[in-house]
Amino acid sequence: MGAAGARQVLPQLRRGALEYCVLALLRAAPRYGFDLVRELSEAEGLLTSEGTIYPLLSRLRKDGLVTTTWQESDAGPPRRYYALTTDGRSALERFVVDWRRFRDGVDRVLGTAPEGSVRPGPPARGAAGAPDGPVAFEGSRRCP
Amino acid sequence: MSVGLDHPEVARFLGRLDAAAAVLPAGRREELVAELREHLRDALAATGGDEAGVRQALDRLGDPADIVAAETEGAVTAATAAGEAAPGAPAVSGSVPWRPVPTAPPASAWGGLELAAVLLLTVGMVVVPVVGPLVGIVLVWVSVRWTRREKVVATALTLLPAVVVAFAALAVLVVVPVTSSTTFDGPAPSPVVVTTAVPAP
Repeated sequence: MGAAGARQVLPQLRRGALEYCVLALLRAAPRYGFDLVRELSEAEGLLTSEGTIYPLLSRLRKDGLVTTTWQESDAGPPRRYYALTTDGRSALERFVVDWRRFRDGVDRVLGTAPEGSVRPGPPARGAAGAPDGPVAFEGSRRCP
Repeated sequence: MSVGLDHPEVARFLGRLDAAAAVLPAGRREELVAELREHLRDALAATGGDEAGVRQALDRLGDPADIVAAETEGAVTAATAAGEAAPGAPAVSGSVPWRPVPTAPPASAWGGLELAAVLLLTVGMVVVPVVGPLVGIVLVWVSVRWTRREKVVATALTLLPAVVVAFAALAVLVVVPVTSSTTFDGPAPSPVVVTTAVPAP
């Protein structure tokens, strides 16, 4: 467990979170590939090679979380747009809940929680608990 | 935009990608290449089209082999997660249809164990009469190289002589008294067979 072991951690974390970051970027509106990739590249450490996002999108499409649509572009041929499905939206909501819980747990153990945050639980933002009930059925969906 | 997909560097990238993607099923191969062509068209338009921009756009995409590897690697993990035997792994809806099937190298049917088994079943039959063949049969069934069918055949071939001898002995015991009893034409049929065989001493 030296430097080599530590280096392996980041790819593992990335693998689990990246697909949900893709889903999150599609939350507001469909995006085309280049647009999506550049947005992801802005986030530090999320994307190592931009090309591998396309295999990921293909997987999300097979899992029914994302669909492809075609839209006219202002210049040039029509573009392939990636859009969130209903399943994709609920998978994302579930991950947001899971992620908060996970992040808070790790922060608490590592002692890396921000100063202002309340120790016993995440600051009540209202929406956090809501999707739990109806989405429980979605448990079979893939999860990191 | 002055630089297009026909730029030699870009064309070379797309050619390598297409070649690497040959391992993917036909539909997905074309789709992946089309997706990256679109990406490059946008990326090149954004760079302003100088050589450095082209290089940068390609560098950011990564190696074509890595992109295709991500395709198959993801497929394998998704399929493993969807697999019936995966304990505790969440099932993935719409399992992956195009996982490249890893073909195990065909193991040779002959190893040390198999050789020993055959020797025991043949030569061993003469050298160590009963124990040799028995150990041989055990070895046959322990073998991981032979199929069940082959094991059954090996066992049957070994036991066949013993069975034939046993049947022959039985036949002699049965037929001899029966033929002798028929000549009597009298009241003592089959029970006599047993009695004639038993009170010899």
